[in-house]
Amino acid sequence: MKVFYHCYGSSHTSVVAAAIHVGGLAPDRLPRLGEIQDVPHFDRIRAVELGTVFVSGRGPDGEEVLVVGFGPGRKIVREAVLSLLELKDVSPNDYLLVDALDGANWVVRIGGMLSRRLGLVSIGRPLAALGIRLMFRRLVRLVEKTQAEVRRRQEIP
Amino acid sequence: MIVIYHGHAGAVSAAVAAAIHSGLLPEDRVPPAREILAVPEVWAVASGTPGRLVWLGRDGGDGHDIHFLAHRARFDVLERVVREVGARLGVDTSDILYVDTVPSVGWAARSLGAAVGFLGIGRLALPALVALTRTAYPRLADLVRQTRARLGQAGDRP
Repeated sequence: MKVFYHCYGSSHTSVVAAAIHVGGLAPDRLPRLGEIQDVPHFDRIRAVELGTVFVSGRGPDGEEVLVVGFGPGRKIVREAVLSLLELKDVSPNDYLLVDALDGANWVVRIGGMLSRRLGLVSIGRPLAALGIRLMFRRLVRLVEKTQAEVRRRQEIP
Repeated sequence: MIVIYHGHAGAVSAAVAAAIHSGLLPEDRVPPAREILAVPEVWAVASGTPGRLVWLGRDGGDGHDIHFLAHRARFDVLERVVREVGARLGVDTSDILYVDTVPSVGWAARSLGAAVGFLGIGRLALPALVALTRTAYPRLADLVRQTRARLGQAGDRP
């Protein structure tokens, strides 16, 4: 099974959720800002790479964890992907699309915009990391729910 | 092949082009608005889920599946996501032909479509959008003919 965490640019919420999922960040304590900024791909994906899938690693039940940015209109892109996979007869048990941007706070959004869109990395990146820290518990809950869904779909007790 | 006519915003043009291609609407004349509105799938532009593929039928000649897609996203990103996610799941997406219908319609239909998409008043505005799309009907029919020609070339490939 493959788990795709998606957000706007596969730079912030999705890569951190994926890092928690694969064990790169501990779910039971708040990471320091530096730890967040050291997560692979964190605040490093360029606009031209929107839509590219990156591999994060493997989850506890052997599932492959990936991240992808849907850009603007993410709900529409998600719907298009789901309907095309359905058209191609891909079993819903083979994948999960998880929206990691849902509930993202304005600190992450502004930090991401400053860094990725305006090129103000030295201000934007720490700000985005701070925003992630503020919503870390929410991301942990999202990952826990996702891992439970992986087990349910793979019929793992 | 899977043919997907797509259009930004209201995307009536995509629905109409797909309906022409699948034979639900005529290719050789501009039908009245009521004839276009009588195609149930056209209403999916207003009441369907944005981003969801709508199947119109099959091209009589070669059995290509004809769909349309109404979206308000960056299509280059959408296409890449479909290709990349599909590839990771072992899905071949090289048999999908995307046809953008927006260049075939005038600025008035584009602007109204964008406004309608933004305001979410599709069902109310659909008759007006269809009326504007009628002015572009010959160009949409041309686009369908070009698409058929491309499909013919694709079919000839070894």
